[in-house]
Amino acid sequence: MTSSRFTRVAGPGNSARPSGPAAHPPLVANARARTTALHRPPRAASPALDDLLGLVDSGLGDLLGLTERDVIRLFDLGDPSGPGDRPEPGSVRVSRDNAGHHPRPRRRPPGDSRRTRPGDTGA
Amino acid sequence: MRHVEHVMGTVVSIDLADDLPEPTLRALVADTCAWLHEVDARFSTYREDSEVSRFRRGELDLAGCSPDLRHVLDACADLWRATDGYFDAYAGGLLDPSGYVKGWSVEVASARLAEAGSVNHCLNAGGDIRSRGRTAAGAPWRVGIRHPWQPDKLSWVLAITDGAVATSGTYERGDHVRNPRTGAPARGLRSVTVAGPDLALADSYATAALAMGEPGIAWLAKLVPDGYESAVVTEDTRAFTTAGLPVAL
Repeated sequence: MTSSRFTRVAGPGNSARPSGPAAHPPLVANARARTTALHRPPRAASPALDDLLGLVDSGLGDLLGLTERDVIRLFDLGDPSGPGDRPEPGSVRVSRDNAGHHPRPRRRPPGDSRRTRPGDTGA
Repeated sequence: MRHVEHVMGTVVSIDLADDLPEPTLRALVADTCAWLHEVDARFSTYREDSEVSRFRRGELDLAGCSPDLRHVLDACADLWRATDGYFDAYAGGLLDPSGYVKGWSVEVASARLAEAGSVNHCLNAGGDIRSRGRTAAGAPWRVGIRHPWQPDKLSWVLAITDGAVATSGTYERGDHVRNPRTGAPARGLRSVTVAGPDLALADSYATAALAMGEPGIAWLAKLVPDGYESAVVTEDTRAFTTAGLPVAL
């Protein structure tokens, strides 16, 4: 019996093109899936990450067939889950990309020296 | 004592947690604000009369620059080398040391406060944070890292005594960081946080890693021996931290 929660999709041996709502999953459903993932707590990092990257740097990674990308994949913590908490006002200082009033002119394409707003030394 | 100052195009909050007479605390806050405004006046690329603008127009040569500007220029050159060119004060064609100056100015402000007797304080310049000592309650300063998709939530909370935390991301201002090698907007990383002893370097490293994209994760791991820990969230919602990131328990 096929659960109504699963949808058949095109694939090997099944060239039927899905139709109806399943062919175009609603954006809301995608957003919910992502939000759920983000709430998962992060797994603890392993101290071996730095050692392994050092190994790759030293060239020994070649012997093991390890690249930096492999090491990163091994130590992927999953999603940026966060404590999921909303901080009590004043209880924490929040580090974030500049929350200033003006956009920061940190990086522009070569040759683009446009300014954003007077007074912004922004970094 | 807590004070909020609008300066350098952002908001700087100053928390002094020392048990000092109120007039002393007020004087320390005033000195800190005066320094930050002085930096804004001297280093703004938007003020025609700033020292940086005059240097850019060639009205000042290197020998005529202040020791502070020479330090900033040297530091930007060092960072260009240390980041393999991904931190580039000349990325826009003209000198723009803004990516270093804000963190440096707060770092200097914190050092001046410590010299003047405030050994327990926290400065927050638009999300770039430098703390020393502890809160008035005797606890480490708690620094939350903003969740890159949910502005009212945190991805991690760090416990910091003496140190700096800086975050660079694409969630606040979109594609404002570019890969200097391609000129294209940086891709791959949504948020990069660096915690370490010096705010100017932590901020610059975070920006450079964001510009690198995913290879920036491995690059950040190499900064650990220098005391810089990091937390990264990728565009596809994966999260990474170095082992020594001081996550609050």
